[in-house]
Amino acid sequence: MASPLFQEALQKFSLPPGTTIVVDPWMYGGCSEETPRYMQGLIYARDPSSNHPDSNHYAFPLPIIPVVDMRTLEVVRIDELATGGAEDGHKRGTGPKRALDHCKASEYIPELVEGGLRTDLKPLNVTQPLGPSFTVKGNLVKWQKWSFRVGFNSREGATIHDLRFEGRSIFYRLSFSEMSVPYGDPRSPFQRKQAFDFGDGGAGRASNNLQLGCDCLGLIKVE
Amino acid sequence: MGEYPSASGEFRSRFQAEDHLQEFASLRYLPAAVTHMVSEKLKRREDAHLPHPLDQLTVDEVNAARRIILDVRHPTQVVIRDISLQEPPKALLWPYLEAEHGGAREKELAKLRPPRIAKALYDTISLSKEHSFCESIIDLGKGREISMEIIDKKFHAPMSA
Repeated sequence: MASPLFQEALQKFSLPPGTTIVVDPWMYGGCSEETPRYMQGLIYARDPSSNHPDSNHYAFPLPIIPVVDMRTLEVVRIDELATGGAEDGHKRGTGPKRALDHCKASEYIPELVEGGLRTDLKPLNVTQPLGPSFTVKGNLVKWQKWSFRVGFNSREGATIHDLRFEGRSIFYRLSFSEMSVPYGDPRSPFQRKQAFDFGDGGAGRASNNLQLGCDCLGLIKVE
Repeated sequence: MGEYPSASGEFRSRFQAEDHLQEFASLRYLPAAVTHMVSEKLKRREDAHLPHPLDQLTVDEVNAARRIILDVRHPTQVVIRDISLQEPPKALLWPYLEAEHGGAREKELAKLRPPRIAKALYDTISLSKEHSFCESIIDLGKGREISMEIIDKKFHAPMSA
């Protein structure tokens, strides 16, 4: 936000007064044989009508991407994004100055959901009167003749090792290799909007614990 | 929560014998208070045991790896990104796992136990503020670095903050 380059780019838009800008830091990837450690900021805004800290900013995108050198912590350039399609000849800079006017809020936190949450759901209770059918001892999990060990690292998140059925080896090691999401617009610089969630960010680094009653029901811990 | 069936007299007398604690830990039918006592005793016994080759690094192991890196790179400034278990190669781990499932006891397993290795990812920063992204392999049993690689500048470290 401190960058004069970035502030100058923001001036080109006509935004409602008091609009809060939100910056999503993304990996930059490479553009030449030896690319400096750049990151790119995808730019959004909080819903100007509420300015709520948990507002879903993805509903209010702005078509600029500041590129930051992570060594010097300076914005080195601003990339401009194309906003139209065939109707404007796939050109850049054709978007309106009032760039947020076409946006509609799309909130997901309970307090902000339009119309409120549903009130007609009947209760669902999971009861396990004799406890769970699995056992956990350290990282060794056993269930119904299956056994395996659970590992964890910052890149892959949870990994499964030495998976056996009745003591017979089925898999030595199981893990995800990568999760990559291309945001598929063929115009530059969208080819760089491709998150590699394992290699870039780390699925383990980004993971949270499940919460009983929120993410899952029943007994989730036996030791 | 549900009710557990209460422990019978037979369970109580067997409970006294330390040798049978392993069996008891896996039984599901003990009252919560008994299960808790059994877990506590097992934990003390387990503390005396070495980690399984696939266990995550302990806090002590992570700190030991960190200490080794800082010492061996001294006086260069080091910023650590990640220290985690380097899983043993399959050729070393597989015989251990097979023996474990074959019911081998601790003494036999000890002979097959692969070395406990940590992998550290970190940046070194020179006096002229040049960064190098490095990867070191540390043998925790030997207490020293066994290999170090400065990663070519065309490859970047993952996000770690």
